[in-house]
Amino acid sequence: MASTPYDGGASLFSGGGFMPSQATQTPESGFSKARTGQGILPLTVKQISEACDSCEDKFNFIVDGVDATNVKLLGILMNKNERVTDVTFTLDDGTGRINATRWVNETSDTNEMALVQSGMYVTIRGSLKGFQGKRQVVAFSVRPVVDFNEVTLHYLECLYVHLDNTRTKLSQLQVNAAVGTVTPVPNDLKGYQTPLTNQTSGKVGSEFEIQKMVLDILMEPACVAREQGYHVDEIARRLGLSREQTMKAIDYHNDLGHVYSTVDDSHYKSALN
Amino acid sequence: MDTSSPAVFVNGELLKMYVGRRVRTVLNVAKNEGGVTSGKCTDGQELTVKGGDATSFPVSHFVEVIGIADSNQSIRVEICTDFGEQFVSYVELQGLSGDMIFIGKLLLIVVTWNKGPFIVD
Repeated sequence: MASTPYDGGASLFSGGGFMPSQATQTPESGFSKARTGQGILPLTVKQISEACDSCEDKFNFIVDGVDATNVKLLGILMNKNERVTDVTFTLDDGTGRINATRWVNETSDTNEMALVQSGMYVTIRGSLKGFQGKRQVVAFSVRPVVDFNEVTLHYLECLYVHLDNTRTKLSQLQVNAAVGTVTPVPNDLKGYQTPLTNQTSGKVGSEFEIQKMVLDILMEPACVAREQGYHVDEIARRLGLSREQTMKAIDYHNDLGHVYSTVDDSHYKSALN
Repeated sequence: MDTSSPAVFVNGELLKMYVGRRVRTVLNVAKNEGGVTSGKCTDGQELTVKGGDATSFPVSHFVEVIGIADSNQSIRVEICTDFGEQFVSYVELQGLSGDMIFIGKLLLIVVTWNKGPFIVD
């Protein structure tokens, strides 16, 4: 009950790899925030482009509810342009094209970039940055693809991670609702939490489901990382609920000490992470 | 960022649906004659590709082709990449479980991929 077979697969990635653990605490302060706490997310250019369109926040970058500061992309390198301090290029992964920059400070950086030429398949790892209104990748690694099975693997990773990030919460909810309990998966809730079982046993109506969905959103690493948490309207919009329904669920969690208000009565964060 | 001309993943069967559009596929090269390369696609159907440097690839190599679908069975090459002789991943990809569709052959991945938030809206 603690985890479905599907979760078992995903947990292989917990923490250090592609799949950031739900329980991961992001440090509150400044510079290190963007660098730590999250793994590298395998993505396609189209996913980045769509997330850009829907993302109002210019500093945090979120794909499928997960912080996507550090990403891994794979595609064909094009328009390589070498300069004294950096190498710029375009990466085409079949879903779209994105500009990337690799700063060259050390000889090793220069050597690495000398190995890749326009027209080659490369894997890049780097940070997503906004510059002059455009998104680009600042790469910290650009490696040629040697075994082309890696191409298929990358697309599989993108699919898997996307499905995992978008479906896990739903399937947990379904499993929990089916047996009328809310046994938390270890990643989600800490042991000191008051068990919800007593309060919700047998209650599988929509009210309980809303409460669970609202809490799931507030427990996302992206929300935890944000100082003021999420606005009620933002949660309502994402779940397609009315403000009243959302507020009712938040009040419920607030009374139980699961969430707390931050800068005003409309912003909330989870107390359970 | 430019997502205006994506290359849709196709096999022999799916190619028919995307005539005139930018597509990508992998061929196992069987023949190289007169500037035309032909070979079997991932679902076993025979495809031909024209143009580019597709003709420079040796028989039995797997070649990825990105280009415009000319007809039901041919692609005009923009970019092609030699994936070598050991490109096995499209034939059998088993062992992935979970609530993703069970993957036996690339066709299923291709369908999932093209319908997902990745290429085709």
